[in-house]
Amino acid sequence: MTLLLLLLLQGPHARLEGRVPGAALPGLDSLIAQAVAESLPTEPLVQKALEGGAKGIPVPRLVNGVRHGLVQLRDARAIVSRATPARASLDGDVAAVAAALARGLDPGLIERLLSADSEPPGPVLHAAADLVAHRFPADSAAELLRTAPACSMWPSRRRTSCSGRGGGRPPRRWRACGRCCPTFRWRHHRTPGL
Amino acid sequence: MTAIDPRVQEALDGERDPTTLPAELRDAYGRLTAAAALLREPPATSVADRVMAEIREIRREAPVPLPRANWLLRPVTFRLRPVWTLAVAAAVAAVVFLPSRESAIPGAEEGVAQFVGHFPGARSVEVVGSFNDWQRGALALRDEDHDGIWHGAVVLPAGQHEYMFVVDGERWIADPLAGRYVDDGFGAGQQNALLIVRP
Repeated sequence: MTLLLLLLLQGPHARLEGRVPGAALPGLDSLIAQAVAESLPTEPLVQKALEGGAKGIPVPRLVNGVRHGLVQLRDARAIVSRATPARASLDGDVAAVAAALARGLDPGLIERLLSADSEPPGPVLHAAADLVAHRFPADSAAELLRTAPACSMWPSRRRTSCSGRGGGRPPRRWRACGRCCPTFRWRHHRTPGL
Repeated sequence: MTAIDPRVQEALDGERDPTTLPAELRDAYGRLTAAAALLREPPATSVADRVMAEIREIRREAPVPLPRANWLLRPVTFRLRPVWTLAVAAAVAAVVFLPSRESAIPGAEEGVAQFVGHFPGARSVEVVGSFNDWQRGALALRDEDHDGIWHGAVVLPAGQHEYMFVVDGERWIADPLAGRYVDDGFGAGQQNALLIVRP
């Protein structure tokens, strides 16, 4: 009973109480309730509210910031649903896409990357956002990241199947990838037999 | 076996007045009469009752041991004082909810994040971010040799974290060395530093 009470106290409202101005609580509660009703992850909204409270952001701007976060989560879920219609959108995927949107990544590029069987999408989206932030063309970034798993840039099922071939000449797909992928070229020069 | 004197037998059968018996036989007659009266009285408890009472007594003295597997089916009652219940609940909650930030060995889904900042003359520098619920005082940086370079390390879950430095408890500064930044979304154009932790 006591443990259950403690669990309930960990709810978003209890986490916000005392950490954000009291005047902001009704608005924040309403936004979080909307997220719950739409089966969207609430943690990014709670974090944004806590951040605003810690920084002493005025109430209207604080609530607007959280509302903006809710809109991004909705957009993110729509992108995930379009890119991977076969499976249910996970909270983690939606949050990762929302974070990528917040970093200014183009929704079309995110959708293309998600469609390319990157699982989980977080690392691919971080890499894409980094590339774009360094003025890498979005199309080239998408192409690079689509082929990058074969070069062992991050964990994925595809990497496992490729690295199992160790030794000998690289498969054609790897060689094609090596033309554009500096990571591959580095490995190619450093690893005898590849 | 001793034969009963015929005169005593006659007295028992009511054919002779017992008072006419000689003194030595009168005593034997009295004992025999008492024994007959005892036999005629109904017993205080039936034989069955006495047998069952004996069985119950035996059970009370030596309980029959249960088969070993039966302890799984036997109901168990824990009796705890309320104060102990609260203490146990608090301990469980502490284990479940409090992140172990002091752990030096990252798990499979964690990584070590190192923070460094150059803040000459600062009295305190702390890191506040999404990994500590933007809670002040959770992660303080150190400057042991007072050269203005503040540093600290912490084990964080893999993924993306937003954070800022808070200098002297009042100045919020995005880590100049972060390399990645994201608008904080509150409309004033302020940016958070971005940290991506890989396991």
